[in-house]
Amino acid sequence: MTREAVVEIHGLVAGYGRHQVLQQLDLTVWRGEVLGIAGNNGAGKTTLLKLILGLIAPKEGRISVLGRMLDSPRVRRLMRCQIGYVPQLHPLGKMPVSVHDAVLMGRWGKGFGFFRRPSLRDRQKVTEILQEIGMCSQEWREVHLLSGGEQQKVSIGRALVREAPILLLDEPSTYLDHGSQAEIVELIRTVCLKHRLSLIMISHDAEHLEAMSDRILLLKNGRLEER
Amino acid sequence: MSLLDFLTIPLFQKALIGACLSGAGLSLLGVVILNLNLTTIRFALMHIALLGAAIAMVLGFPPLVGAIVGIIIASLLLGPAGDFLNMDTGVSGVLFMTGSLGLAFLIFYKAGVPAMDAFALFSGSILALSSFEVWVIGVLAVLIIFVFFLFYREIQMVLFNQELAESLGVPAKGIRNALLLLTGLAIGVNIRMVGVLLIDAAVLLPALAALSIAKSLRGALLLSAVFGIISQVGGVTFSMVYDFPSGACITLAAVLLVCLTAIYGHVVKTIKR
Repeated sequence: MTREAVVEIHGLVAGYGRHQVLQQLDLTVWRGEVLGIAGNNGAGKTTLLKLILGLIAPKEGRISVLGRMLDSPRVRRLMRCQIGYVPQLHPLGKMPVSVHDAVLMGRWGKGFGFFRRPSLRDRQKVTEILQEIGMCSQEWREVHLLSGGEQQKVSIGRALVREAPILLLDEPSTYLDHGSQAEIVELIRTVCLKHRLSLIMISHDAEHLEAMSDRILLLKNGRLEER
Repeated sequence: MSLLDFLTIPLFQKALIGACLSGAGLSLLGVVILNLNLTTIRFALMHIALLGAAIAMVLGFPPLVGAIVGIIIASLLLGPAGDFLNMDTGVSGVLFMTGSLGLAFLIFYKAGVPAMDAFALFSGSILALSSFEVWVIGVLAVLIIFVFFLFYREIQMVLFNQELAESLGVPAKGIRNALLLLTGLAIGVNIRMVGVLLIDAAVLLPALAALSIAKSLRGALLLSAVFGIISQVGGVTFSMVYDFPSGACITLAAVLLVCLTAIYGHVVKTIKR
């Protein structure tokens, strides 16, 4: 059986201004694979995710997602619909947003968008995902009132509701207490198997990745190495 | 004179219509300012208004025209300048504020412009509104409500987390820049109503009161509009009947609303415990 690549990166050079973060980086992620990328703070892990997500453009090299080359802002924006992204846990402002609405945001560009309001299907999908991540009872609570672990679940829910085949997770369990960490690890493992997702997960702590990953790479000096 | 007698005078009619429109539409932008951490922006725009007024006076135009043109240009530049300088928009606002103030004083000094005429902008009055200005406020209020209605979800995402919105494919920077432009216009219009120094009362305080008790962005926007109308119409009415300055009355009404909502929020929290 041939393996299908969902993300392919060749000779990637990227950075900010004159500072090069990634140098001649190559990477292939296969369908259904759970890839962990470890590296120190500032190694360029988040930059790599943002490049795959098309939020920043590389200086050199090629990135393709599901066979489409990310070579223009239009394609980068288009392919973002095929990727679920769970950013690092940030302290939230005081903007009152319910768990339902926070998860529904993940349907933007997929189910609704400019001049197309959320449909019944979008809302049903949110309810399904909330059941899956165990947040149904909190559906109308404000997100900024939730614990760190619960906020992370909402973030995962928002990525899942996109029904995207690729999931990128930035330090998914790092800043959580031990109980919440175990819960998040279990949740990621379950949803990954159920939805047959391809996962790229990054963490500064390789131990966090071991419990979940099929393969772990180390990002060092701008390149990926086998661990 | 009773309140009904006042309502027969065109001057007061225009003031009340202006207050109602400004409260309903322009107060919504306070929610944007508070959530995007743009509280320095209004100071920046006020100082840019001063610079615009100074330039207009040198060129022989009315200072208010210069102030509004300056605010529009600055609100278009604030977002992109922050991105270019890799600064938070609020921080880049400080740069605009100090820079424009410095330039304004250079113009006052070298061109011999009477600074006090420009500073007169800082003390507007709702009672001095012309019919044209009431129309301008009305059109802007309708535009703001329309934008919030049409792009509610996108604005919600940008206010919740700009980076997250970008990662979902929402053109977050474009929406932020459009909101900055509307904020600039709202501040420019409110200069005429309450004066620069009391602008917080018109734009910021209703939103502050709303956000302290609202459970959703929709609720915050609705409450902000309601509080905006109450503070502006209430302030103007009180100033008419008891012969007080209108700007000060609007401000004090808004401050009172913030205090009342804070007490309400505190009581609700205590009861829930």
